[in-house]
Amino acid sequence: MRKTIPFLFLLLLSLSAMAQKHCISGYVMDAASRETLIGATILDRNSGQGCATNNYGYYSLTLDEGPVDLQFSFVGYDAVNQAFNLVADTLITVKMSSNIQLQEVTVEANRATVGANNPQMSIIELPIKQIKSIPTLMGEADVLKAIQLLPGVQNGSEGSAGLYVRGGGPDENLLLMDGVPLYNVNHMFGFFSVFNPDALKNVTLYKGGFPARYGGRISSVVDVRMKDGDMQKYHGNFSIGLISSKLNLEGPIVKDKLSFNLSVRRTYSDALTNLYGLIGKLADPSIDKFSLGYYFYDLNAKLNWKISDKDRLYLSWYSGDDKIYANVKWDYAYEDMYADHEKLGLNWKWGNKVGALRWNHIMSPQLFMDASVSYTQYRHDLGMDQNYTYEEFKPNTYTSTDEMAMNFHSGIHDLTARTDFHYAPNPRHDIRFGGGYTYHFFRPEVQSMKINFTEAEANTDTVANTGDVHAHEAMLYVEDNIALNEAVKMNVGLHYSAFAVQGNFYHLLQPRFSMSAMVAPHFSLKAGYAYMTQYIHLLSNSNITMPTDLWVPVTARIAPERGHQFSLGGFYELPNLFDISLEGYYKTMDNVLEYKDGTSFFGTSQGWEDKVNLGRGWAYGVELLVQRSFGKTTGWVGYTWARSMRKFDREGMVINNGNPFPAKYDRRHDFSITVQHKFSDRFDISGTWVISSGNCATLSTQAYPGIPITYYSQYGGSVVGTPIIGYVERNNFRMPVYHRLDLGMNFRKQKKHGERVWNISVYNVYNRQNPFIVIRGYDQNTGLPELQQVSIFPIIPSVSYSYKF
Amino acid sequence: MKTTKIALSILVFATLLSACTKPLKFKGEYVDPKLVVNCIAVPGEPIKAVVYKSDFVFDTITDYTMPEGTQAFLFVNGVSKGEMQVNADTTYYNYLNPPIFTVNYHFTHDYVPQIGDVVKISVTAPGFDEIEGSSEPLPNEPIGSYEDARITKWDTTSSRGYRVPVPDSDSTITVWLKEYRKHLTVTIEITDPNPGVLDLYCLEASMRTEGDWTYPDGLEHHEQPAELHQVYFNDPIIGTSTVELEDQFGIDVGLTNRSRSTFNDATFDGGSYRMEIPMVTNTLFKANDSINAFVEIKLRHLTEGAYNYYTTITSGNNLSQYYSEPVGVYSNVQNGFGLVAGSNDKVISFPVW
Repeated sequence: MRKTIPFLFLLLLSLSAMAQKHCISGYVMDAASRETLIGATILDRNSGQGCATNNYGYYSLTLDEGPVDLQFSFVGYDAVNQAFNLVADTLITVKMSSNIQLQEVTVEANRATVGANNPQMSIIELPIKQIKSIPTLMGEADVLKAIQLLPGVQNGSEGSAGLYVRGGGPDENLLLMDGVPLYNVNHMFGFFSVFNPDALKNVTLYKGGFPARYGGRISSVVDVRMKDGDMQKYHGNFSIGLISSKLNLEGPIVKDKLSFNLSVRRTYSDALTNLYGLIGKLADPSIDKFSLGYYFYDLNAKLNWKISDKDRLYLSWYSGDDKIYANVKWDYAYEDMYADHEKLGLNWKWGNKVGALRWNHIMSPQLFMDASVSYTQYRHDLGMDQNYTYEEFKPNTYTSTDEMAMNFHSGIHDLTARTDFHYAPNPRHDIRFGGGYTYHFFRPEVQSMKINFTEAEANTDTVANTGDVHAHEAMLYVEDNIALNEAVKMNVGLHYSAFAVQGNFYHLLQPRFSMSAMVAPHFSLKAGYAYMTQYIHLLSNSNITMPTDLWVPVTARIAPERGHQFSLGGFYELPNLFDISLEGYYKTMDNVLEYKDGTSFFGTSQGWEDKVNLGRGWAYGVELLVQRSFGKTTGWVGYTWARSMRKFDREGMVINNGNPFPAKYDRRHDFSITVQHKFSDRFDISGTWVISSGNCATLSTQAYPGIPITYYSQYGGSVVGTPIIGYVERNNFRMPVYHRLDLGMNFRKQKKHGERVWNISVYNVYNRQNPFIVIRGYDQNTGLPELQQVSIFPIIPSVSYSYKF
Repeated sequence: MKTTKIALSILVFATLLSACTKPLKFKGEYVDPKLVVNCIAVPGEPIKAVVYKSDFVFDTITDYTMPEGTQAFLFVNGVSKGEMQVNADTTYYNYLNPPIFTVNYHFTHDYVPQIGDVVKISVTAPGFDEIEGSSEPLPNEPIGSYEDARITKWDTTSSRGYRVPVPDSDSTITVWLKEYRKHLTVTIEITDPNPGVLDLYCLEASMRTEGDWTYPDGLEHHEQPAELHQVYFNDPIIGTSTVELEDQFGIDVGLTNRSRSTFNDATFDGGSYRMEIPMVTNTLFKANDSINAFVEIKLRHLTEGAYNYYTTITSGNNLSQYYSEPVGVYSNVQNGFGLVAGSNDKVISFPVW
């Protein structure tokens, strides 16, 4: 470590030795919409030097004075060539036109970012077109479910949008929306993610070899970028599906100056349930009022203001909520003797709000600045009330009223200021550095209860607050993409983070490294190392994503989680045929959090430190990805062989007698194949087949009676104690193999004002009963105990209609 | 278009047929049964150890009956006290309706344990591994005093119709019963008997009734138990919980139904702690029935093993078990299952009507 820092500074100092060079810089954007293109490549064919655009479409390439022959390329677009004599710093903004003939979707958007020659490893870009073309559950295209099909990434339970990357946990993924972390990325208890593909421009997944600019989670980074909005003309699309409808609009507010992008999605399952409630009310006259529903919505909005050639301002906003509500009122009278009146109310709402104000400034052709302030919030509110009135008319006149109300609130709020610089002094160095500060406000839970019974003398009206927590997090980083020569490139970086909470101060310097060496034409060997830490944990131990899952900061007793990851691999480009990537990794995790036997955070974090144990984990595996990115048939085949283990043997924190045990989502084999084929401009199909080892579960093997209970009743004496289920080992049982086939078809037709698309998808085509949970149940006929698996998603066909205009 | 319509119709039909959750069966790995011994030794009371055998959880016939030829041996403070005597008694499974009566076996010994004794029991049976479990030193009596049982409300709240079975018949009738509800606030004070030591406790509440009564239509019923309807723990030491104590027998002393019964003296070590416990009782009697009812509060000073057992067994029966890691109920019996532990109990009983 001590040698690394001087080495970096020496590299930076050496840059000043360059002479007679000029910088070519600018933006690369779509010619029609003026949407900037992320990861477009710029290559000087004379010198062989090149670079790629950053997350804002900006590039900077410093070359020797003299003739240059630039080629701008981006998959799906016609290449743009510009040849001229470079005599001074030059600003070139390139507008690229979409190429109809090459519009087949690709897994790999561009070679500059993820190809053989790029030092970055364990990175995958997923174009939004690709995500939209994958067959979906209930017709809802989903970013996270598309990511789950990639090697090294696993879902949790059946249908879940949770991510388990290279043996890590679901809270170890940094999910960024326009650079701002999102805490709860799920709708409908995890079956859908909050990312509405209509609003998005680009999705990048990092599984390892993390660049130094990222930090705060140890297992993965999912960097999602929203569309900026068309600067030229208004257009959009809407779609109607089985469970939701979506609308996307974008266009100029001031042409070439100010644009907007607006996307809305809302489900309408509550309309059906309210219809059901109406039928129930008609069927039972005693029900005076009945409403029951669930819905979720997403709203993405973005303003993009081009202040000048050097300055841009972005204002982006996301809000999304899930809501469950129920209101029931009964009135019941028994002849003229008594009457009951009962009212029940439930309002359960949870969701995110994310806002970011971002300023891009070109300080010099070689130096790009991205400064932002952002706010992210996740909150969860639960309110329940019950009112019961009893009226007696005969033989006595009597009235009593029981009222009860309960409210529960929890949330996390972050306010962040951050500045990033992108400095490209010459083609051999591409330097990024920056820093940021985040103020965290945790409100683990506030619970209020009000009980008012007519007959009670002492009623309850209490508010219990586990205590708000304020925390401060700061980080600094520097990284350099270094081209040692034509064949060897590396990314070297340092990330320093510090976290202060409740008198505790944690900090860590985290080195990052990745490199590639072209050992043969189209074939490179790659290696990477990353040291990561995270200062927050998610308290959740359910099979599904619950809104009650709580984020909590590290404490004096619960130390930050840390992880080392080493990866090694090869990348082979078979020109015009396949890309083949083979990677192996070994990952260690320290201060991994696991729940003690019997603990549950269902609705409470009270005393959470007493409910968890800290231990360590390790994971290793091999991932194979074979992709075809061009032609009428595209797709990929992914296979992962992996192992993920945990060990908890620290004093007072023992689980499983201190012996190693497999992590809950440890799966030995995971295979997926995703194929799209375009028959014509009017018809294309896609299919996905996945097969993987089953999840782990903890199952009992022995039952025995507990301590007998002394009892007073007509039966007298004592009663056999409640049967106890004896557990021998944690995660000692493996569920059956999981496999599923999904198919999708798109029927396209060009209309007068746009294009209409009918999409038909079938999820789980052959109706495989995959296990969601395994329980000890009872045979319906014999009543005898047996092991049962519960499956939740049978074959689910869906249809959606969309219209682009 | 016609083909498309047919295809869509088939898809919709297939969805309707299959859109339900179906449990599937598959076999687990069989594990041989083990011996089980349960004993909570109380100073001043003869030792009683109940012995069973465990069952593989998916056995088609549940049989916990102790194997023939089982022997149990008592050791106190490392000294053998000899073989224990076997006795049979009738117990029943309280979670089945109607309850299943069965003969179970327990072992007793003439030795009466004292405070500070370490009790060890070993059990052998042909074809089974020998098992043994040992307690920590038996605790001294918890110093607790019953200060007050204030009846805050006492009502004949309402009349309600209940369907009750007619004896020797499959039919039921609706009878109208008075519902009596009583609100109590019981105040007890706990004084730490061992300053400087973390003492472990369990608080239990129960209610019992004595007497006969009849339904309004003359059907006789004996010892209809009352219900200790609710106990509110809203206490900084025990925690906040509303505990429903009911089962099909109408009464429950409720170790299994209680979520917050164990606590310790970490916050009042060396001092006293005053605790108010609101309760609601419900019962269904005719006003002229001669019924006596008692509420019983039991303050138990536990060994660590007993404390761990009661803490884990209550965790395992909470409502959110499907959302939590499964519970490993505490067992300190080597090569088998069960618990050998100790407690020293103080019972506070008072009539409520």
